[in-house]
Amino acid sequence: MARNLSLTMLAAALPLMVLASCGGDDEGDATDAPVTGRCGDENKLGDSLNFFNWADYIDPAVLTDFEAECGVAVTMDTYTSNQEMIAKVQAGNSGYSLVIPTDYAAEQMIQSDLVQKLDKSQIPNAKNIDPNQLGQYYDPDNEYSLPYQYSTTGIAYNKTAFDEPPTSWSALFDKNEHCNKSSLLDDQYEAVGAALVYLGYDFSSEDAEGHEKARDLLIEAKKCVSAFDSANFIGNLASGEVVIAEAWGFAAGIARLDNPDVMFVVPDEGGIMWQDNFMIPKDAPDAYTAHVLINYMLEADVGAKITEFILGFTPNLEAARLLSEDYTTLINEGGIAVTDEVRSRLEPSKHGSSELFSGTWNAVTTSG
Amino acid sequence: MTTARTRRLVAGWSLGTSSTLALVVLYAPVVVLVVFSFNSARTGSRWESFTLDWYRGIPEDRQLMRAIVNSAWVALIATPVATVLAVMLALGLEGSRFRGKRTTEQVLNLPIVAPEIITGVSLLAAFALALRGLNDLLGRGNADAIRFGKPTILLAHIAFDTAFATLIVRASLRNLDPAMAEASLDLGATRWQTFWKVTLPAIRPGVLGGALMAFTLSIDNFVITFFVTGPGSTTLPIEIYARLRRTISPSINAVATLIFAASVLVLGGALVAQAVGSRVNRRTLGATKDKEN
Repeated sequence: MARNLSLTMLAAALPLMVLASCGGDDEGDATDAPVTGRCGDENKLGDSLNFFNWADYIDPAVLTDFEAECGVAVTMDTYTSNQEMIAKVQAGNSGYSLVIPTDYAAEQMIQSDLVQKLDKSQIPNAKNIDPNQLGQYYDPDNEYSLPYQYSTTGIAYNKTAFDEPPTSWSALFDKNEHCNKSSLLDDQYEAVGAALVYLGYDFSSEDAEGHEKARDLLIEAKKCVSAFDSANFIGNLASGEVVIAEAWGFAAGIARLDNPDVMFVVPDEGGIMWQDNFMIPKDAPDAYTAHVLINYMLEADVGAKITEFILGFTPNLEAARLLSEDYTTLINEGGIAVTDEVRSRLEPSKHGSSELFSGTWNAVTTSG
Repeated sequence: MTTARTRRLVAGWSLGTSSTLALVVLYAPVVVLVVFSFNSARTGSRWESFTLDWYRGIPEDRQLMRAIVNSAWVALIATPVATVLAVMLALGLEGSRFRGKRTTEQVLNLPIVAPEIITGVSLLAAFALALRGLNDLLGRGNADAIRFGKPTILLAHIAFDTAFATLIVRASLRNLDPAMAEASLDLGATRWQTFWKVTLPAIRPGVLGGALMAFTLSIDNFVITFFVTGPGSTTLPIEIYARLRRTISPSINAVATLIFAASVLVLGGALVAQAVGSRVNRRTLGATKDKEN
């Protein structure tokens, strides 16, 4: 109760503190702020932190709240691909103390010795994490990573365009009835992987015959779909310009906000579950403050805020309890939710050899 | 007689059509962008209703504001530095002969000729090396190392801005009659006085043009900046690119519209300044002529 009270007081004091810090009275804040346990050890906490995150992948209010609550100014820069982020970290001295790689990229960063082990004693909120989302192939004991958000890859469709909702990848490949009103993701792993899954192989399969078949399937599909598109398909789904598309679950959610006819399905042949993770680079300027920020983002209220913004799924069981009805309705009625039945059809987004996949992909994109 | 007239008519007509077409191709996308920045629909290409929300949202968007400030900071410093360097280089290259002049010219043209991506990658490698050396020298560790950031962006921008601005300043210097400077020197002015009172006023449109060019290049450079940016120094084009990957957000349309409006204003301002400048010049020249008469 006392803790709740102090939280309420803190919430009430936030605007004042922001005003005070505008006036340059920083020291007053530090001494007056009640210790909430959300900010770690004040003496070890830095003043600022550089955070490298996916574009549009956090509610900006979380960072301003963290600054107001804990006095750490977070500078966030964004990337649009894992490769982009890894390149910056690999160059050394990137200055970032926290990065968010996707599962396969996390594996690559661990193997390349680019990240440091997490000190779990600094992240008590790790106990809130869904055991289903821990111990993934890239970090079996979660020594280096903790999950941030996850989502799925499947099919988004406009229910008004279908008498029978699609349940198979064939609706995007050999039985596509919506030529020029459909799209596949513009990504060698997502597109080739989906074709492989449809053909009965693993998402990350390196089977030579499988890749030949996937290539032919995609070359045929390319003649029908309006585009390979990873950027505009959300808007196109919402406006109805595209009625079926390979899509991420959260993307279907965004489109659904504007157009309730948009639905999502993980096809019978299978879909992909991918997960983005907190990781701290080896040469992070301030690993301690990064731990505190990870712990902060794993707070139930903060986690819920993040997930409602992204429309992905939270691995945080405590945060899941706080999700609004709007969010839950959107996810459940849109077919986006990962039920146990859906989970059984999902495989992790492991990545096969990049030479092989880019070879297949190039053959597709340069065809015709 | 008639054939010549028809030919002239046809020529005039085809010139009119082709320039109209060119203008449509150039400006139609901008019109679409401006219109959609007032569209209340968040996604897709359908018009919903008029709104100013996307514009109101800009000042509250910390990250966007930071990107705008970073871009302005870089461009506003890189432009004067590059322009001064360009004038100095142009004077040296046009006014004198020296050993290595051709080499200097070639080196200067490199940033123009070389693909930007090559310039970007090589700057990344060079800066990384230099920063590592610097950090070792100063004994700085992970916590307080000197890193990529606005200074590296600034250096990179000055480099390519200077190359382009020099080209423009040189062109206007070449059109300048060398007799003017010689006359000034003959009449007892020092080289310094000659530069300020004769050469610079005469090449002012070129210098202004060079500066405008440098500013524009700085503001919208993406490729080179992408490689040399560091924590917290994201510029506007990079921020816009990152956001477009998800979905074309109307707030980006709003920002782009504002930038477009700003460049139209700057360009208009430059034109007015030039018109006023040349009128003044003509008047002073006219006055001197009157006196001579």
